Parts: sequence; structure tokens; C-alpha cells
Amino acid sequence: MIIDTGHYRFRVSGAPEYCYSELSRMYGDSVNLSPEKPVDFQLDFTSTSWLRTLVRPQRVLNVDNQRIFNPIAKDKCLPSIEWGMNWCVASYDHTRLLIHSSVLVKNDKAIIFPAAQGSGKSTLATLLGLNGWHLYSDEMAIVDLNSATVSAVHRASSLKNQSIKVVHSQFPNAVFSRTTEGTQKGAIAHVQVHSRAEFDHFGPASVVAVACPKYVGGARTEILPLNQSQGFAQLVRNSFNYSTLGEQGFETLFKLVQGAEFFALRYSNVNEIGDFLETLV
Amino acid sequence: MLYSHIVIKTMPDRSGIVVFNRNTFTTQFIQNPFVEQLKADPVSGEVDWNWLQSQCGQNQDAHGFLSDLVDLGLVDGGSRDH
Repeated sequence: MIIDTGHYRFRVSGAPEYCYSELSRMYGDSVNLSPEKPVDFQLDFTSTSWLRTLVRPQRVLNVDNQRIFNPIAKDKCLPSIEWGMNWCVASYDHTRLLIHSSVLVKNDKAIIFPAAQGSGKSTLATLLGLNGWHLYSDEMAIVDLNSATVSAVHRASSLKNQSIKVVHSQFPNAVFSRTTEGTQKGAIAHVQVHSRAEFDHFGPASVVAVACPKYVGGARTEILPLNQSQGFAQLVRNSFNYSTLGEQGFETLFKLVQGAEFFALRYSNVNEIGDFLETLV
Repeated sequence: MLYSHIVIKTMPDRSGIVVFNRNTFTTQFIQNPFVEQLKADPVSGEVDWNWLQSQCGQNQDAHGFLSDLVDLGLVDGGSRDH
């Protein structure tokens, strides 16, 4: 199976059968798109031993024929495909500046949300992406080195633990993958936020704001402006390849920072944050 | 040019100075009173080293800024007069 995410094309092979049906539901028309084109990354599952095909079955995910990851139980392969795709891009694409963040766009203006795991950035981005915003990515901002604009990838959004219920309760008709329990991150499910047809209309967008979110249950909404030095430092800290790109990364980030406002967000009410973000675009 | 291995830029909001080291690919952030006086290229935001060095002899803030660069190991404190 080939998954075309826009900038990156992946071939998935050797996965348990259930993975293909789940990926087909998540990625729709991005599956096996333009099969004549080359793929960028090969994700291939292999068995670790004959015995392990029978007793507590497990597989190992290889990237371009290299064994990178530890073996995983057969019923936990689906999230590993998504994580493997993230790993490929973060490890190998040095033609763009990559920042660990989700990205939302409205009116061709982008807001990026750099934050550590567990901050709620994917939940926030998914809820808003299902409610009028364009979700360019729930995992990484892909920044053009010349224009400092961000571009979209067609990927499913990753949800963990309580976030799965939160998003499902508000958008019960959204397309969810099956939930994989007991991964290193807990329960994991993916949700399709945009169809391929919608994604095909997503062009490069200028970054107008950078918001560092922190979900705190029961907290009042607090919006703290940050200065550009603080914002620059946040982006450096969350970049996958800033130090690899050298001066080109520095120049790109400076260009991005010049046109952006910066905020730290502490919230529990997504609607209030959504209302604030609307004022930025 | 001396110190050509570092690039100095001021943030447009004057919140600080960012220094990129071309040798190590590291970035340092400096908050210093001299940020208010730094003359940067309006397009690139880059500070002209020749201008900066010319200020050091007569401007205490400029001298303090250069001291900050020395303290951070970004420039060699002993090489300025060479």
C-alpha cells in the first residue's frame, strides 16, 4: 500500500491485514495515489522469528530495510506505522525546517502550536480542525526555507487516552481508527480531519502567530503574550532539524519570527481558545 | 573580517539580540541595554560588525554587549585589537 501525504510518499508492506483496512479508512483517496511515482520511504514489517508468529505474535518495523525500532505486538502495529512515518520525515527531510508542533490555518494565515508531549496540542488542533480550521499537521510544522511559509501534509490526527473520548463525544461522526490499547503512550487512535479533496486545496500559508498551549483540567483561560526572543527560543527548542540546517535554519526562523505574534496559552475550555485564535487570523 | 563566524540580529520588537555561530550552528539569546541602539539592516536584521566595533571605544553599552559575547564564548576576548 502506498500512502501519499503530499510532500512525502510511503510504501507500507508486511503489516497485519487489519492495518490496511484502517489506513484505507483514514487516508481515503491518498492511498495508492499515482502508483507510478516513486516513494520516499519504505515501511516494511517482518516477523522476528518463526516461534513469534505462533506465540505472542510480534512484528518489527523496518525503515528502508533498516531495523530501527524494537519489535511490537501484532495488535499494536497501527500506531507504529504513524510513528514510523513521523520518524522518517523528522530524521531525513533537511530540505525544510521542521518544528514539533501542530499547525492550524484559516484565511491562509497559519498559527503553529509548538509544545511538548502531553500539552494537549493535538487535541486542540483536532477539535478546531474538525470545526472550521484547516489542520495542516498535528505533529510538525513544515517550513519552507526560502519563504518561511508552512505547508500541509495529509495525515490522520493522533489522539491519546482521554483525548479520544473528548473528540469522539464532540464529533461522533468523524472517521476514527480502531483504538490501540497498551502502547507506550497508552491508548492511541487516529482520526481523519480532512479528505484528500480538501487537502488538495491547502496552499502555503504565512505564520501570523505561535501559541504554546498547555491544557490544565479546570483551569481558567490564560493568554500570556511572549516577546519575539522568547518565541524564537521556543521554536529552536522544538525544532527537529534547526541545528542540522545551520545558518539556513537560523535565517528561516528569523524570517518566520519577524511576522508573528507569540503567546503562551493555559486553558481547559477549547471554545474560549478558539475564539481568541479567531482574532489572530 | 574579525568575528565573521557569528551573525548578530536584533529582534524586531527589540526584546533581545540573537547570535548565531556559523562554526557550531548554535544560537544564543542576549538581553542587553545596547539592543536599543543596535543599528541593524532593515531587511536582514543583521548587525554590521564594523559599525559595532567602532562603537565599542566610545559607548559603554556597546562595550558591555561585546563583553557579553566574550562571556558566552562567542568571540575571543583577547583578539579584539588584533
